[in-house]
Amino acid sequence: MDIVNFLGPKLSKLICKDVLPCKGLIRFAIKDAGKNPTLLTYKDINEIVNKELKNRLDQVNIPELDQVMSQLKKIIIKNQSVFTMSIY
Amino acid sequence: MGIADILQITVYTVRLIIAVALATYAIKTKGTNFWWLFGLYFTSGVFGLTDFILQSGNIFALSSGFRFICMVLFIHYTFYLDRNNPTIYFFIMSVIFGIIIIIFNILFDYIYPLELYDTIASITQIIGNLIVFSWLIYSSLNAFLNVKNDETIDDWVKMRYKLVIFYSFIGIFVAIAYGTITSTEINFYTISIFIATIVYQLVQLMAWVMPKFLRKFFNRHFILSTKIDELSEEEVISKMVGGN
Repeated sequence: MDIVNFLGPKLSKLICKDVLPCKGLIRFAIKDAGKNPTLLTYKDINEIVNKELKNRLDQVNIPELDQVMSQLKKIIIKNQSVFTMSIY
Repeated sequence: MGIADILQITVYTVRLIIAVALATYAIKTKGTNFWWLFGLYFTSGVFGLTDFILQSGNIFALSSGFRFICMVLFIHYTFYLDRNNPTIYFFIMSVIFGIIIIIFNILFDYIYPLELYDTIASITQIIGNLIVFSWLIYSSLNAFLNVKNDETIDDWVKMRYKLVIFYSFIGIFVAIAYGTITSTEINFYTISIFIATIVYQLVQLMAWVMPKFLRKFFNRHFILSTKIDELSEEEVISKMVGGN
């Protein structure tokens, strides 16, 4: 499973922006963290979202960032098993 | 070597194959949960084969508690991080059940071969399996229902959930069957157990060591709704700042 494709549409809904730049933002956040996007664990994703993605969202002045981050975290917690089930 | 022996060797060898695959995932991802699942399959394979070679009859049972703990921690690390969970209760149950199984097996084998001791160990093992497999079914089913309609998740990943649920149901049947079997004569019951054991192994193998052609097959209808065009960093920032 591609984490960029998985989280992109969810982030897009939360911040009311196009899916494509949202996917781009996630892609760059993963790159900032120096991780391989195909081998991310739940812990890695949590760290990237809380640090690199938050920084990226902050840089583009997303309003109510704390609320967006809290919703994003809820989505990740709810879907945590997907990150295990999609490893091969 | 009879058919029962071949079946036993096959079962434990398959478990070791799955253990190797899980260790590979664990090393690749540094994921804690895969190490617990590895622990479950590895212990099961090694203790099972040792049991078969020594023909002791109780070595495999002695590892039950540890296997329950591995399963409980795998479920915890896969489904319940950062949220309210009942893991501690299942963990305590696993420890208590494991101790009961060890005590009554030792009593039966080395102290006094009272049938009651063996029955208590067998019943505890059945209940333990029933509880941990039911928790795995519940957790996997909940997670599957959550992702079922998510079009961004590959179909083969959804299939893996289904396979885990399916083999857990068979696992319950197999655990009850092995715990209550009284004869090795060939009849409808023993043939059913034989078939269930084969299916149980194949489905576990398919779930955790899913070959590429199977992943492709399960994914044959999977189409990502959005094309993955990669925007440059400037384009991403401009689209984010400038709106849609």
